[in-house]
Amino acid sequence: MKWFKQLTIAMLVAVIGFSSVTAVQAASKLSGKIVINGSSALLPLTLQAANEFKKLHPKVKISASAAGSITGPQAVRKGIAQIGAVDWDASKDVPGFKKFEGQVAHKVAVIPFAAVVNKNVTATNLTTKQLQGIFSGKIKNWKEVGGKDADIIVVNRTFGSGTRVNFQDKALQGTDFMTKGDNYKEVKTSGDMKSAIETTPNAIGYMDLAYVTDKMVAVKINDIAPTEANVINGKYKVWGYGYYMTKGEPTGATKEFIKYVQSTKFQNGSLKKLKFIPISAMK
Amino acid sequence: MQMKKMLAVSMLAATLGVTAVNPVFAQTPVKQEAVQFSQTTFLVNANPAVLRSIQASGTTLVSVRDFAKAIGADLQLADGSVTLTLDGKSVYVNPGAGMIAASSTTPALSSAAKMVNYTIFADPSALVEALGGTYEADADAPAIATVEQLTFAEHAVWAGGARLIVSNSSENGREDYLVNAANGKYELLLSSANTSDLVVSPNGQSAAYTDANGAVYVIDLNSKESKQVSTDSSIKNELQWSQDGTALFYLQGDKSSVIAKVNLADGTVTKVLEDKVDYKANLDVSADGMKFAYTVNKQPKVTADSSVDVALDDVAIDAAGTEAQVYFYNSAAADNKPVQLTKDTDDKVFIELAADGSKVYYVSVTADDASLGKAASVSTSGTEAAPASVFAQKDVYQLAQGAERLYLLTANDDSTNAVYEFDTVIGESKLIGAVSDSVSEIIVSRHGHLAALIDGQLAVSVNGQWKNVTH
Repeated sequence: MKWFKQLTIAMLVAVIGFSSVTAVQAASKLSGKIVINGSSALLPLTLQAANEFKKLHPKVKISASAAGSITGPQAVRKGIAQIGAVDWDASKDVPGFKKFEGQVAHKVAVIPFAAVVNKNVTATNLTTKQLQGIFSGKIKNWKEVGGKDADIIVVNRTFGSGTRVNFQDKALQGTDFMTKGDNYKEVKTSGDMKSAIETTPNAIGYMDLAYVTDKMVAVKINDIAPTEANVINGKYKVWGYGYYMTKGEPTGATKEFIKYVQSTKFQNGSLKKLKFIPISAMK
Repeated sequence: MQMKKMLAVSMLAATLGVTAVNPVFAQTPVKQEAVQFSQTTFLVNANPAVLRSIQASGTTLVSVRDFAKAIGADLQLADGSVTLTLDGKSVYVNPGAGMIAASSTTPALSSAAKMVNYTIFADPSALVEALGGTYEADADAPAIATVEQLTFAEHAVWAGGARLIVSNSSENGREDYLVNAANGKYELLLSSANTSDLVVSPNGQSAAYTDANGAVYVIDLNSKESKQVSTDSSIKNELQWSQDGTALFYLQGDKSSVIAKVNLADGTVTKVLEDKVDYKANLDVSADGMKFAYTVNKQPKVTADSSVDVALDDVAIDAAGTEAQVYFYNSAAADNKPVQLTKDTDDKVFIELAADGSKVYYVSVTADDASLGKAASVSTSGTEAAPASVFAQKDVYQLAQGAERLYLLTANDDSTNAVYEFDTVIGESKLIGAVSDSVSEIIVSRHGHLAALIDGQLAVSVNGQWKNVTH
């Protein structure tokens, strides 16, 4: 396969003035297999990119799955995946998880996270302190935060979820979650969280903003709505980068796939359509 | 720039069978008289053109007739002189007076004009400049530009009126241009941010796109005016026009689980198929808007126990049975259920549903390490036990459909790929020609016109040869 000529790339970078050059590549003989596992928040993005990439490189086989962020770098370390999709930089220590030695983190998206409640919940503007109280189990009834008299059902992601890591770090400022109780449940994926919040009256949980549907409400935190604009202007703090982790620097098909996801075309096109924010938007 | 021209000349010469002759070192004498005739290769609007030439006082003069033909200028002869006209500008050549001028009554721009054996020769640089173009001397192939062309093409689709829409990413989003397929002349169509690629309507006169909020717009390709046709905020993937141009079909939601339709007259959204099967892709719709082909990608089953120490990497991935499969849905059928048409483990890309919905064509890529691509078809009636081979003579990279034909981009030799045409009515394929192996995509119009993206440039197939319309 021939790559877009070096000269043309250099000219484009000079003319367009940004480093993530669009992906125009030869109808390729590039082949290989890429197994991607990890974050369920990143799965729609990964599968969309895979569909587009395979039209450029039909001989590259891509399989993508999600079982929570931590399983991404675990699968890479175990050698059963080439890319671990994670909602934090797993090459560094984060609260609850040691860094994965020898793995390289590649930023692929900005992911806003939102606290979400069932549509029957009327308390839709919560302070950080109220969220800390609710998710630690100290606040048990919606009337304690301005809502109606009803028990709060807390839905949490299981340990190892990148959404959980980000929400605990940025929305709860590191305070602990409750871990048990009649009004507490844990779910494994973003899809499970969506189902739980949509169908459970008085429930509160959290998820990637892209998963929010019209059958739930994304609450304001400290009077700030979880919107793309508020993430970019710095007012809304509950967001994180999505990463692809690789064992060392990637090569071959894996390298080209990551380049495609980081390309201007994908970042400004399909990635935004899926409600993620391009990495270039954060200054 | 020099490197690029050399590359373009050599690439095109090799690919198209054109002999790129160096005007200084490789001119080919064709007639020995007092004046030596040669054939000289120029890059005219980014394409090699061989013009008859002579040397006069150390200057290469070219046949004015050949020059006019190469740039598409109108040519009028009168009393031993000639006037070329292009886009409202003219140049007058009077070999008897040794004169090149804007007209017969204006001062001479150059005296380098001669008639030899009833053929008028003139200085090409003076001709070009009089017509408002640019001339760039080059030892390999002097460049003549009379049409301003785009310098890059990232993505392209055919539109009506022998035009293409070329789309290039920019720092602030994307710019879409209408490009004349004959000469590469372009005009800005749309400058936008956070919008999907333009999808051209069946009549080629408008195009649809969505913004990041899911709103749908239709732009008139003649007036260049966009009109919002739906405010529905759901995520919309893979827009497809209905044949009559009154509706758009798409895959709805972040998991593309629903096939939906938006009526362009009133923006009404209806769900065509909601079967709770996630991650549909490669949607294609029949001409009657009732039948749908698509693929489904299942996710591998992951086993991981979150109670086990992270350091133990207690994670397993089982990908068995998750290969992409082709599905067909007939919304008019009594049972109203999608049908899985394939079961094999090959990868399946470039899904094309026949206009009548009778067959699905696709590129099937074998699961083994050799990863050979072949074109295959499967009947939507469910009567075939297995997919049928359509084209397996060469490794197939891409398949596209137009005018009841399939167009296949395939491997060829070490430096070229090949393009084949497969007639779906008679079931036969034929070689159309070779193309550089730097091609990233062939682009097929509804009427079977071909273009190709090669090294970030757009070329159009004209009588089996690729003509650059960007440079």
